[in-house]
Amino acid sequence: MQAIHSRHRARRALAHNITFRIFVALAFVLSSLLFTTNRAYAYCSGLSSYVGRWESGGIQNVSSGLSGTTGYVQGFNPDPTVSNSTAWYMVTIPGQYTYAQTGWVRTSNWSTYYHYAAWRSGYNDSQHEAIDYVTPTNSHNYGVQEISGGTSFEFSYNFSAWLDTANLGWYPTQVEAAAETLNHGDHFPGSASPGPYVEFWGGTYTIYGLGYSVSLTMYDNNSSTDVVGKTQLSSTAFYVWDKRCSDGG
Amino acid sequence: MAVSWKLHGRWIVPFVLMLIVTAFAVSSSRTDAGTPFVDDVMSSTSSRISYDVPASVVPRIGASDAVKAASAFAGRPITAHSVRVGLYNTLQKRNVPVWVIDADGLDLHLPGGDFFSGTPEPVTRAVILVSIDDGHIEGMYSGASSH
Repeated sequence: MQAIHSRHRARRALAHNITFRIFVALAFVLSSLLFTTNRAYAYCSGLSSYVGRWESGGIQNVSSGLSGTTGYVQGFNPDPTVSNSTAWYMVTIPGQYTYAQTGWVRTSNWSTYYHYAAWRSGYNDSQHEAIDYVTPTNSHNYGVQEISGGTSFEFSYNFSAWLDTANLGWYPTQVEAAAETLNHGDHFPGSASPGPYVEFWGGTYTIYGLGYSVSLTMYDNNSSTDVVGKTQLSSTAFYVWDKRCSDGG
Repeated sequence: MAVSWKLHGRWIVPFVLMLIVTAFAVSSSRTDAGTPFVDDVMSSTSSRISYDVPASVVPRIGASDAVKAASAFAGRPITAHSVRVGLYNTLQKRNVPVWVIDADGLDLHLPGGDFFSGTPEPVTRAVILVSIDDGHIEGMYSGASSH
């Protein structure tokens, strides 16, 4: 009789064990599905469109001898874009339409982002834009540097120079690093938690041929407060995201 | 007769000078007005287009498809002032065969400007470089030379 009871107990225990394992397996499968579903139907649409400016990042003034900057920016493929969505490093004479800028950009018509260089030498100069296709990589380092001791600028991507400008005739006084959109309907670079965010890090600048780590003061120029999220990690690093978009990039 | 030559001789120097000045003015105006847009835009950079294309370079996509690719890139139908096969050179790329399109009628909003300057006007005319192999956009340049 006891033997029969113990056999029953053993069978019940085995059944419980199997049931428990099935539950665990089901929970695992369901949670995986749920996670996948969230990512598959991630959300960043229906953004109201109006022209404005959302620009967030950091600046550093340099009194004299500034000749270039370089730094890393996380790649990202923002969607939707009504105007454009971009992240960049630049040297500039602030407020005078005088700058040399490089980074990545995606506009409304493109399926991916491109690397670019933009420069201008005053209000009356033409805006110069150069876009160059490169095979995408995980690492994006952008640089702009005066060359030959003059005022021609050389743009680099992942430490390889790809474009030199003509002599531009000016010397920069400020470093800037920022992400930017020009329409409320644009997906600002980066996605809300859990990201991916668009991080800027490892920024440097050059004075009289010597390189230094940047010391960025955070700065914003935003037409509304509902778009840009930003966290500063250190004097050389920060990351940004679009508060409205949880699309996982 | 000698008097006549003297009279004519007085006018020879100004006449020759006028010819030189006119020739210089004409040649200058030809340079300004006649520089192709592509060359003008590229001249402000180290990137260059060479039209010395070997016969072995045969486009897999035609000119009309290249214009379509450029239009897709621009997000609207473009007006192509010229479409030629050329070799694209940057500091990194060497002799990449492309369709070189002088494209007008664009409305591309591209970055530029710092925190304290206004944003740039949309690009309306640009050189768009389309791969002759698969139609991807190899590059784009805009902004006439002013330096």
